[in-house]
Amino acid sequence: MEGLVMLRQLIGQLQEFVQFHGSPPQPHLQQQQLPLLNHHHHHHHRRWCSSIVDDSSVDDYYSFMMAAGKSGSVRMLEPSKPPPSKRSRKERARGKSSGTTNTTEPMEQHIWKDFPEDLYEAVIARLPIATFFRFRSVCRKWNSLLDSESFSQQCAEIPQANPWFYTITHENVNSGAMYDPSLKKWHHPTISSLPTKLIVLPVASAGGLVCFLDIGNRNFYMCNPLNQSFKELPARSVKVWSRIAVGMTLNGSSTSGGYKIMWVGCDGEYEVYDSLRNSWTSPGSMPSSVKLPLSLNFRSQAVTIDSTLYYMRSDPEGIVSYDMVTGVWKQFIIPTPLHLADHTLAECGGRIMLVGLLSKNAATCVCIWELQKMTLLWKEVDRMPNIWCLEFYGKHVRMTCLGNKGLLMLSLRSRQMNRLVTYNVSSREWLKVPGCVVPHGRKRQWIACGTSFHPCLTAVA
Amino acid sequence: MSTSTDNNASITQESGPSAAVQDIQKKIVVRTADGEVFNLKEEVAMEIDIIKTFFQEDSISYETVMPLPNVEGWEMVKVIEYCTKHVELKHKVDGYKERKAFQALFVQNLSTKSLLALTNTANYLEVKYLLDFLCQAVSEQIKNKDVDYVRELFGVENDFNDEEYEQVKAEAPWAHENLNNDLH
Repeated sequence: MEGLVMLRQLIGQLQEFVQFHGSPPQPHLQQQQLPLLNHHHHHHHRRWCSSIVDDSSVDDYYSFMMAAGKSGSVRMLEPSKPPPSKRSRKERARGKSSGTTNTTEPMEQHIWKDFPEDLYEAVIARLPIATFFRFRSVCRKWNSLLDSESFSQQCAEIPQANPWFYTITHENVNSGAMYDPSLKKWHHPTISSLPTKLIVLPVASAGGLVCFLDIGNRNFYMCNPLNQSFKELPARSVKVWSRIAVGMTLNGSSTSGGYKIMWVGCDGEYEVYDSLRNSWTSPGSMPSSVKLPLSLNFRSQAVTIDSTLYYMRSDPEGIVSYDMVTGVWKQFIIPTPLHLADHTLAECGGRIMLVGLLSKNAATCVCIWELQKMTLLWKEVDRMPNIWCLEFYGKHVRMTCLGNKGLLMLSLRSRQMNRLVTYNVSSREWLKVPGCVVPHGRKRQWIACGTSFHPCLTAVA
Repeated sequence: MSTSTDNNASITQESGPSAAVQDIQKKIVVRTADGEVFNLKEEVAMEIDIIKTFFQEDSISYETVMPLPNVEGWEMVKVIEYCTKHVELKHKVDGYKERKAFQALFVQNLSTKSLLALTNTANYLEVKYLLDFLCQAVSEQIKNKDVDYVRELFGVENDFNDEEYEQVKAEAPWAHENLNNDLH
């Protein structure tokens, strides 16, 4: 009896569904937007793209982009669009229709009788990100979960999974490509609120938010790539046009407690943005113990451990750190290993690591060092498997490290070759990353730069 | 009065040097909605917050049979099974693999609907670690299902109109890529 009733119910629902939509929905329809977007910019950048890329004197992506800027192909900033409107609370109050079943079977009634709302949320919060977005079309209530306080709470309580990577590719500098290491999948979101006429690069991230800086080092933008939450930060009080290093910290364990962004320049100037006050402040000047000018390693993203930021510098080689809570600067002199290039800082469980390319004679290898805090020396702790390193033998290889916390993505390239690998610092696992290809595309994209971020559905900029 | 589940709850009583101690160990009695009665070892019963609160807050004598009107007999069996294992693993140094194996077996023969019912029960009984585990298990089971299955499972209706539905689907097109691979 029960089976028949359920079948009738199912048929009824299917009929309704077909009435609404005619035929099953075609997800592919939406994807056609993307190639159009790529095309426009692709054509525009094509010209200078190929000429600069081959020049091995361009040492990193930043210089490459600045050269592009000088050639005049970067236009004025487009006014940013307002963030997408949130669904009204009224819509949320429209409850689920419980008891759609007509059966008197005790188990059915028992399930739906007291199924509290946060239980749905506890289950949904544990779904893979892509599945969550898919299930938003289940019903209105599920669609409005991103606005729900209790859902945010649930998401915050779930132990952090692997970070994702938000990257910018050479082929398409105006939209990002996201990589999910647990499913080994690339996604190509279009974040409509990010300025498309100006090139912005991801420079830092925390709590699920990614901080973007425009190429002229003028304006900061905060964004959650998953839910399109977006904010342009107020203009800085200090007008500094030279290159800056950026760091980001959370006040508490999630972005709801507020966050801080810090920039520091080579001349020792620095400012801190406080999201709770929505303003920049200059906490002071660098102590005289820190040698100026700061030859900051701009390839290296600042490392965050609790409330302290660590920046890599040379001359003298080492690290400078800034504690966001106490406002104290510290300097550490640490000799860099020999024959090292393209090195960046990383961190894992409070340990400070160094990743870099070690080249001796014609052999190149990716090495990992850990900072010995007692002696302030780098100690080699791991190397990329030999077999993979053989590929680089005799070639001039450059490396970009994306992400700097726990899981790293390394982009290794030479004239003909472009390899992507991830390295898990705690498990010491090296994994190959599938090539990044846009939907309906075939060509592997070249990852220029990016950052890792913790996929957090509910973080708000 | 006692059912076969009584033996499950006190199975380790016979052997071991601490047998004498366990003989004296107190039992807590509960009755589920379908009239089944369960004798729980005190240490297992205390894992269930609602039971713990009931007896400890008002210092109620263990002779009282606690009614659990929102819990079915089969659910109680499963909860006792999980909590007993949890208590056992507490004393072990490296129980990770054993726990994983146990968890896999635990959900093996449960339908998704039963899992949901059990989740509801774990929530009502207030056993946090069991609740977290069950929520994760349900999400694993449904992650590759389609939207219609999910609606039926949770008993919700599609209350979108045409436009809204298309809009929702269009909001994150990137998440719908590679969908075919996910569904099967």
